[in-house]
Amino acid sequence: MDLLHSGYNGSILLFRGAADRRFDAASPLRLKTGKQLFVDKLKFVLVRDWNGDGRLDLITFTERNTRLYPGTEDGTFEEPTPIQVDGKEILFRYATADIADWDGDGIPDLWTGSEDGGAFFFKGTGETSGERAFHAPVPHLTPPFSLIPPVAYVPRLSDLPSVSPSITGESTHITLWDWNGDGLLDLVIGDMRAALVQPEDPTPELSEKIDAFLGAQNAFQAFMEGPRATLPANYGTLSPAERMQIRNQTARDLSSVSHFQQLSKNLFQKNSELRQQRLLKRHGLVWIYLQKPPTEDSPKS
Amino acid sequence: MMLSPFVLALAITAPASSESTPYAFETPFLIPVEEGWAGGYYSSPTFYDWDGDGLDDLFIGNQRDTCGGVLKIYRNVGKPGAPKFERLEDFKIAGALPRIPGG
Repeated sequence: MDLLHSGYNGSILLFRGAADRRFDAASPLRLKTGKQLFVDKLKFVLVRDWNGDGRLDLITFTERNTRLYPGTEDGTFEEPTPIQVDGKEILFRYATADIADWDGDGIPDLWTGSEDGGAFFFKGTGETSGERAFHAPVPHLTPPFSLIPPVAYVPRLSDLPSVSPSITGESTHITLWDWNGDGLLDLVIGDMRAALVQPEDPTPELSEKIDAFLGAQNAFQAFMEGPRATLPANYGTLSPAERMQIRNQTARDLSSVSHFQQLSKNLFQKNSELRQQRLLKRHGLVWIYLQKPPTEDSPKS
Repeated sequence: MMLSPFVLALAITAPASSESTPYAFETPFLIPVEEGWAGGYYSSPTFYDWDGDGLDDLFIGNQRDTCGGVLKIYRNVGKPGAPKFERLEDFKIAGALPRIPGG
């Protein structure tokens, strides 16, 4: 097993596997020209045979774009080509993606998470003829649709870790794996969530801090009912990139509202006090979504 | 004013989707381990046969704090099609926990 490490600074380092589950010293990935491979604002990389030529390729996800670096026979990579959907970049933050032939048509498909939860399927299309070994097609991706709707954030702040949650949280990290060995890939989703831990016998001072936090949270939530009402009705079905655009615009609009600034500052302050007391925790879980066998109503490949 | 992810997270509550889905799933479940459920802050799972016993093991990257995270390793002690995971030592380099920057 080799290990690949990617950093936000753009470097991608290979730790080549050695005996006894040890690794050689890191070496940077390089382009065919010999130049070190460097990807600005890198968030995430995948290593897959994307174009079906039998060699591993590199797919990079940054804050700005998704790019394919086709692998060559000597372990270096060709210059990148964009992976887009209808000419638009595939964007998500604080999340990951996975690529595999999900629907069994011989073409890799893409699943992504997003910073506000959910899982998104991008069907791969392209040629699957026997000529592929000689002229490997690069599939293009069709527009995404949401299979698992994003979650509502606010109520989770009062969830207790001991209470079994029933839905994935935010910042969904996607891996495709056949969990139950039925030959169908399943969705494995890691997430992040916040939880307020209610102490059993709090001191009066602690109770006061918790009440102050809940009060600040309620005031903030009440104010946010307005912006929430302006979200498009189909928000849950939008792509991660489209949702990001809406959230960024909402943040820009709110940044000049003094009442919002006051409420958020107060909430941050109360939040910090509880975090210092270790009463406000952030945690993540890993969810298994077993894929049901296809039926006659399932889409045809 | 700069907004942190915390505020942005609070800022949006998404309407539920009513779109029908072309692929169906069973009710989701969590991965039980001795300490409760497998996971970590910003859980990022993947699978690989770490110990060479023919069963894929579970790796979960996470962000422990602002300086980075660790890579948790869970050994698969189940059977093919019925995985069961036990926590091993976290991934180490030269005997020390590497601090892996988030991104």
